[in-house]
Amino acid sequence: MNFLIDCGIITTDFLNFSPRDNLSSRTQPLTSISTEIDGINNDLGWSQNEAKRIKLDPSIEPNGVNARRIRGQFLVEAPEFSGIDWSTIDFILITNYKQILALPYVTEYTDFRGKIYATEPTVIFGCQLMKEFVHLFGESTMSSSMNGMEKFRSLSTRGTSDIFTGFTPEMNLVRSLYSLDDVQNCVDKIQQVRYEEILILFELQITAHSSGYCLGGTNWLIDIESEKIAVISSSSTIANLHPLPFSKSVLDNVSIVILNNLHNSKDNLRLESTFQNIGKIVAKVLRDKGNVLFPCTMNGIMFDIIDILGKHLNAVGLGNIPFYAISPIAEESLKFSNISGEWMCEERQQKMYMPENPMAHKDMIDRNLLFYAARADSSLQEIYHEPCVVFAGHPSLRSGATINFIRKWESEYDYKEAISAFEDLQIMTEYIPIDIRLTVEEATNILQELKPRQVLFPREIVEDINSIQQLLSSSLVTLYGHLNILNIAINSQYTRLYMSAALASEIYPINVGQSKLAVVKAKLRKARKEDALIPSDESNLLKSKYFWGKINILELMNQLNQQIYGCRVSLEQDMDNSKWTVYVESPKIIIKINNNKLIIKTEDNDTRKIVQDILFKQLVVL
Amino acid sequence: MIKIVPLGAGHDVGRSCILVSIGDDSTGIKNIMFDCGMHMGYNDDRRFPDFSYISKSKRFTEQLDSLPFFTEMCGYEGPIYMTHPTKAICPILLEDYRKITVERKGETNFFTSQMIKDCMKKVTAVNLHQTIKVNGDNDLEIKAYYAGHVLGAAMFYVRAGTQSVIYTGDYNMTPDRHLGAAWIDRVQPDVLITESTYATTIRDSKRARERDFLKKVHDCVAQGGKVLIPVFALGRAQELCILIETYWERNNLDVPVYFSAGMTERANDYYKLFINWTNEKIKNTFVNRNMFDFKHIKPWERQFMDLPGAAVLFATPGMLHIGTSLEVFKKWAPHPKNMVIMPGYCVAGTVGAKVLNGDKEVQVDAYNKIQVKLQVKNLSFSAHADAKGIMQLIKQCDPKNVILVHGEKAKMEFLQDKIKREYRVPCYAPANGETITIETSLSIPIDVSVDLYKRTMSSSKLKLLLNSDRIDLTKIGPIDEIPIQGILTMDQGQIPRLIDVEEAIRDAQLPLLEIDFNTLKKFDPSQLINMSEYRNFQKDIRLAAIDYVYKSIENVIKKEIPNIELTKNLSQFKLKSVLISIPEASEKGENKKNALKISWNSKDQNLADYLISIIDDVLPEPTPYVNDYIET
Repeated sequence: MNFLIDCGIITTDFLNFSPRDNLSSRTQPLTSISTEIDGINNDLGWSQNEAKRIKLDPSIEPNGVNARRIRGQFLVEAPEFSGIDWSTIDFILITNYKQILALPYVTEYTDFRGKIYATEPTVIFGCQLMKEFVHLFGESTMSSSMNGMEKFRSLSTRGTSDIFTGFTPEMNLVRSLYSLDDVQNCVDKIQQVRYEEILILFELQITAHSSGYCLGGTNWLIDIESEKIAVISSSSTIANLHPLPFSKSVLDNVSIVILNNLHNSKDNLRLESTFQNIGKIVAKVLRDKGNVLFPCTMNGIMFDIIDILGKHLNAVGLGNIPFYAISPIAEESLKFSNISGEWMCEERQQKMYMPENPMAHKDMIDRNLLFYAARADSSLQEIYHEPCVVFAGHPSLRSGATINFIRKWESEYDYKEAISAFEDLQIMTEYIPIDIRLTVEEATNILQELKPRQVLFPREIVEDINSIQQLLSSSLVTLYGHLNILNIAINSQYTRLYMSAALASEIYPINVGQSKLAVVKAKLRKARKEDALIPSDESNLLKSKYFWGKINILELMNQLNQQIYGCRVSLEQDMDNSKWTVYVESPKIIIKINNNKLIIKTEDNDTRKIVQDILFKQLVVL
Repeated sequence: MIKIVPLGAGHDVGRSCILVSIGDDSTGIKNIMFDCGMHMGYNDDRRFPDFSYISKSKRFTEQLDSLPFFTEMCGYEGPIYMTHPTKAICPILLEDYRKITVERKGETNFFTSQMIKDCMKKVTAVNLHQTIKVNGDNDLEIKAYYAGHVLGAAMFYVRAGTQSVIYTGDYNMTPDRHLGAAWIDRVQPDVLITESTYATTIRDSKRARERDFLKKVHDCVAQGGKVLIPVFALGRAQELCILIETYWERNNLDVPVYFSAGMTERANDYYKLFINWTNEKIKNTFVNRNMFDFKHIKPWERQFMDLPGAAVLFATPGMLHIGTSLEVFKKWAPHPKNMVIMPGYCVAGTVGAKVLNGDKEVQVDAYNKIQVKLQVKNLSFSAHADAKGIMQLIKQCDPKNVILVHGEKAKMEFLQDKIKREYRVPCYAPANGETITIETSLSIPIDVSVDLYKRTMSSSKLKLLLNSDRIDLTKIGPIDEIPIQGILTMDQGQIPRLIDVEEAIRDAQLPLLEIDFNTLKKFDPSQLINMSEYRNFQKDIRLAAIDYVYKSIENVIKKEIPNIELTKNLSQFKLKSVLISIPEASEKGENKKNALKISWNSKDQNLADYLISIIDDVLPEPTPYVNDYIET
């Protein structure tokens, strides 16, 4: 069985493009705002933490501050697809809404026919994110998009090697974006699940557990023949965030832990103080009649920032400052999050039970403190007042309303490189990265007491494997990198079945040493829920017999002498005492004893019976 | 063994409360209570389920009027599970009910507001399809399925070991304007406990009923009449509100529409937050327009009761037994222009039931009688499954036994016959306090080694009769039973294990001996030489012996073990490890001239003994010479 976990896209290459103004170049409605910027989402869109590969266009000098930027069509680098025979992939598991961006390439442009599983919020917000992606970076005309897809199609069928046996990518795969239709068709193919819903997929049992990272964020537990493998992707153990907290049940009795999407920061800056810091700076800027821009994704930590900032500003007497959320998906995202109360932390669930809005931003919308718009265009003019706080995409600063709202940057994309595209910047920038994902250290601490057999860390993020190995002394620590092939031994020993009372009543265990033993001959009945053992209807002649015990050789020889009149018994012994041979003459008998193996030769059946009876009397017969 | 006792809802509607005892020695006996409802037809202790039957039980679900009575006044301490919307709405309904009973009717011996709060703290909310291990116990598992009916309604699947029960609560198999249809996996439970409110009804098309409803309302208000629609706060209220709202909008009507304030209003707020529990259409359009933000429907105020002119009012409760609906009914009933539409079921004894019965004079309380002159219409919008729906659910989950509750006795009996006839499963309809015992086969957990399990699984082959000229494809079915053999080991405090023999031999704790036997069978050649078919075998009579023994054995063994594999060539044949052959040339000796070699492994001792006895029968030993020569 083959399956894939997550399907993201690296969007860092967007930094090679010039910013695209989604409005016409003349409309710059909201200029001259002094803006403060905060990078919110600095985790990669692509989950595998893979090594940086070739730049999109070698003619462009990468990374240079003065590099010429590509004009026009945005291209993305999708995960390595050419080595995969998609028809052999049985299913795909998605961990959170960010890890879904490349999925339409798979469902719409390969021969993948398997199932896809994701939680309800992952599907809803993932769909929104893909739509925003297309709106902001997609092509304007259908025809050119078709060309892009043709190109992709040819690339996807080119792969002849097998990714599971080793594979070297020959060239970088550059793709134009999919269409909105592709997004919808793709989303329709995903099966929505809830946390702790048990999925039975062939011989695997798979369950989703809360990762604490975002609404519907998932860590997958894969149970194979009673051995458990936990896939820990973007997770957060930070308290007081809006999602349902990280569920430790995913790690109960787990044998193998695959860690992914860790965050490599060392400084354990507490989130509270970060929020306080943001509150302080924002309040100061607003008092100075400045405006604040957060370039961000319309999801995740943004919900917490709106909530906390709103409360903070209210507390410091700036409660009437308007907030704006500007993105093609702003309205959907704000509204859907408010009806996802079941996926939120206890405190917000309690609000939902009242019934109050579990998301403070819904109250702000109702009280005309928060406004949403698809674009920073004239529709916004009527409700727009300064000073204000603006949340706008895209965090790469290469498209979306955020461009219109002057210039800013973000941490997923190198901050300096991102911001360097905007010359003559008169705004103040503040770089306060917020990353709520588990760090290597946090992950190690969690695993320390659980003692899984094996733990896999992504190679890029681990600086010192020895120190990790020391802390996780009872586990085997392994690193993995891009396109590495790792074999993990599954050595579960037992699987739980049930036997019927009828079968149990046929079994008469015999005391053997400390245990009771019995030979069981039965039928295995395969059932949907649980396999069961029931009595066999075959002849008992086929029931095996087993013998347990040690042969007492002197006693054996003695008995032979007594029972076979006039025979001559002799003994031959091996040097190391492990092999014995008893010879008898007239009638001829040879008994070879080698550890647990006996060979008995006789030349007539009556003698065989005598020898057999003597032996069996010394043994426990099962 | 599974035991089921209805404490309420046996031959009865309302007051749902079913006690189930499930499990065996291996899992422990688990007691579970499903639902905790209250009877609307009584005003004394009979309205509560009879909890005196219970000693200790475990949990329940969604009809919850008596829940605080049970947890706070009867002292239940165990876990309680319900869905998120139920957990949200339940305290509101309880509080509302408490207010009406205690504050308006002045009753005592009822639960208090604080009791409701304390009770709700004990509740664990569950999501649909989430599999809960109760108290972390692997032996007791519950899972909720969508039930339609009202917001948050769920059916519960409970499993203890290999025993399982489904309790449906109220459910609806047809989607409506605001909820989806109930759905369940084919879980093949030992027992399905299903409600049967509409055991004999088969409803006509939904569309026709809706048209009928709207026409009646429209006709009445067009004449200047007032329409009273008694509803419960949740469910039909929202369904009918959506219906009226869209009709009013389409036809540009301006006749005022109200819903009784407080509860219904608040209930709508819950619908707005729990959009995910409604249906796909509402969910997909809610960003642009939340269906539960009604434009035409306004909250009701008491003074509107005396205003002249046409109006439509949705008022709680649905059976006209108490509260706003009864109050307004008293006012509007004497006027023939007005109309009351009963969209749901009414328990016998309530004013609603009497009105539906056509009574022209109704005793509304101890002192007052009112004249009923308004038009009375009954339209079944009740969100219970009808007979077709119940049959459909039984088919979906494929139970071994069916138990009917929450229905009227005569109707249940009709459905009971139908179920027995059509699905050939036992079907029961117990009265309150009557215990139904369902025998389930006892099952004992056993840990099977993965090696053995895998080998067994991969050894399963489709039975193809390849030797026949034509393969009958219709004879090929799925393999559901595979022979398995191993060694059972039992140790103190451990679940029995079944391991492969090879594993047992490797296991230092269990040194099993392997014994190979090797012996000669001497025979008298004269018998064979005299047989005509073996004339040609004179040169080596042992070949004749092989053939003769083979035929004799095949004859017998094929009857005993039809599918045993026998492999034969000229000089030997083999059944499992038992090999019957001509002694090798290297083993010289006069005595081997008229002998066959028989060898086997002691694991096939049973088979070997049996085969040797056959051989002894067909090939007698030669009369022994006195001087048997033994070569050294």
